[in-house]
Amino acid sequence: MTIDSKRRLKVALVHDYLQWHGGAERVLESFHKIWPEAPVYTSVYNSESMPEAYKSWDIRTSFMQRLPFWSKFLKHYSFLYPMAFEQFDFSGYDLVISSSAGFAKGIITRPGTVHVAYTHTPPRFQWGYETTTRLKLNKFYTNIILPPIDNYLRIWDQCAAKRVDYFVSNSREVQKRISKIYRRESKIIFPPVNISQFKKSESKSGDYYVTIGRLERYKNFDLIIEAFNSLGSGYKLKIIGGGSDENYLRSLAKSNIEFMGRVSDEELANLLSNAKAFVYAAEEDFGIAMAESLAAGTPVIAYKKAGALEIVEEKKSGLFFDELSVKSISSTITKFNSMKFDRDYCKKQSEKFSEERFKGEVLDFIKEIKELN
Amino acid sequence: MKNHKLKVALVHDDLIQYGGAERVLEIMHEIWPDAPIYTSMYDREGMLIKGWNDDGMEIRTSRFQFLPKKSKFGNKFYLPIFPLAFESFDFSEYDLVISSSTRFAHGIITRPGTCHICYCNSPARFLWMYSDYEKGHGGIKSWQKLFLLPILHWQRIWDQQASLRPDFYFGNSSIIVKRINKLYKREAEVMFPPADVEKFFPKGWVKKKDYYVIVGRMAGHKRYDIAVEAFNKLGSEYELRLIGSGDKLEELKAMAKENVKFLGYVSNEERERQVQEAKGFIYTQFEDFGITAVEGNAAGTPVIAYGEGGVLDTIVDGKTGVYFEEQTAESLIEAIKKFETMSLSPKECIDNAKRFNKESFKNKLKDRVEEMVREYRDKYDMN
Repeated sequence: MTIDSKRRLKVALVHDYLQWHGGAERVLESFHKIWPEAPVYTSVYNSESMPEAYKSWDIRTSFMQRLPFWSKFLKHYSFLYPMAFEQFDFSGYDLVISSSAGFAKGIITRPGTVHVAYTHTPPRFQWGYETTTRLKLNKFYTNIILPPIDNYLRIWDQCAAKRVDYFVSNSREVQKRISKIYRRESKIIFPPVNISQFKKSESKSGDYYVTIGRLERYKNFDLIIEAFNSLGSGYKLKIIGGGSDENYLRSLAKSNIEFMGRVSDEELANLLSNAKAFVYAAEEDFGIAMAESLAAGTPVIAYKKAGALEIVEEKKSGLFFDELSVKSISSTITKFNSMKFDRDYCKKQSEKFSEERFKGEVLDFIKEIKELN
Repeated sequence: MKNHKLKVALVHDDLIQYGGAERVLEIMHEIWPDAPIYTSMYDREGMLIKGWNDDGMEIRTSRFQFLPKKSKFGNKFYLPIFPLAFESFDFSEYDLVISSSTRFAHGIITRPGTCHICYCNSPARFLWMYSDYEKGHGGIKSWQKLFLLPILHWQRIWDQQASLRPDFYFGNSSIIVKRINKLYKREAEVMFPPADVEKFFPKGWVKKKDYYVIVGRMAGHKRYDIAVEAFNKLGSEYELRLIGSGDKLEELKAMAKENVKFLGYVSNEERERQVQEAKGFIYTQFEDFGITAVEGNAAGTPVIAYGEGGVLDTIVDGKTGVYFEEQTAESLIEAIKKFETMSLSPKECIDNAKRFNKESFKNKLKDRVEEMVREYRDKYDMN
């Protein structure tokens, strides 16, 4: 089969679960735009929490969908995912693309089918990275119940990695993790960022800083809040997003800090475009929000780790702080305040994360796969 | 490399017995004295009695430290917890972690920011050489196998996956490198463990006497029985002295003729003198490395050795010793007769042993580790 007849490639998509709408799901949507006919195999699908558009998709769920109360106990069912993905049959397909931060890469394909794994990250909780749910569990659970389950999942995860024909990583950081954990090569393709949505609004530096994200402990919003508390009323901060840590964070914040809650896409674009800078303290695998901020013309002040290093250019499209500490954050903000940044330059930089570019790189990558030629 | 000092941690299976692996760990700690030592369990009292010294060591134990440390019991009954103990450590603050592993320590989890080098004494023998392990324990009862075998089965699967986790491997001898290649399909390089050779060096001119010597614990797998049998057959012109004690002592005594003498435990000085004055050092056992053979050479005494395993690395056939090919009395007799016709130089033996001294181990290990870290940091763009 040649690539010219790529329309005739029979493609399937696989995704961990369709339960929350976050960065990984946006990537899946972009894949689905390239291959709109492709069925999407997933462990569980919660139609209520996913965008309307998914209803027209051909979504095929696993036996986990039929488990009682799965939406409530999903996190307790982690040991079932490996089995769920091993049940799917892909024998009719030429190409299967799994989009995975965990289990979807464990699917089984036969030699006639090429399996490309777009990897958001190796499963964080098994390889030494914090996750939201883990931090909330009690000691008994994390010290007694989970270690044997994790041990099994780790063994399985390393086995499952062998089933992948080609790894694609969403960033250099994830490429390193794939190399370290699975000892496999991977090609970097940055995730698609809907930059046009942010680009259209006029970009002008306002009088406030902004931060965005799910308000969860591991995103380190508390440090940003403390930093602005210490900077005083001359520095305003707007926090966009909700989450389980919201009440706690509100209790920390002084009057120069405003909680905006969840906002519409349009409002988000406006708030970003008119901010002085986007402050971000989470250690992200990639960090789409930072790319969106650049698209809105707003420089980024970020923790000098992982994904941020690939998105932000020091002193050109933002500044880094070296340590996760209130002092390091606040001194970087004061430094930022005394500098000038070219907002058009930021906009231009965001293009390397555009959705068009993503499609192009994915298709180029598929074109190179020798088994498909 | 960034100009800051590397932050290093050491990891060791457990600190319950004070043996060869722990001596290597001590010397690693001399190279990196600021490095904390992570281990599953630490029996401090038990180790101190045996001469262990933890001054200046920061030992961090796993959450299983509370378990009683009756090691005879522990080895089997605690098996399931070890992989979990090592997977629970967090090394994100370190630049370099060196695991010293004979069982599980290489199964730690490090992120890309941390380079993990494994000094492998051997892939776990009870997993990958089970029949030897069973023999070594004088057989394992059926009811014990009922739970032991499924655990070992699971741990073999685990170990094969865990073998991916180190970024670099050292094997403590050629045979261990081969085992790592074979079982883990990973590259490894040889880094011999250090031997305390200096104390065996003769202080002055030594007059050789007309006897052969064996030093070691009288255990079944050392096969001293073939040495006794050989000297029984060689007759009274050949004298063999055995130094040491152990389970098999009475059995060996019972079969020995008059030309075979048992000296039992002797002082260190006496042992060194006995080895220095001996004509030849008899080495019948199969060891991965085998420090006592090196000590024989260090005393200026050629080693007549079963030519398998570690001796291939340590003893130079025809120069600092003679190999025999089969682990039998006949083969040994042949080698002794051949040896009697040769004259091997004590100086050459001593020079050979010098290769294994502590200082050269420290220098080599440190240099190679630093090169590995540089290579790693290049790969993960951290320079």
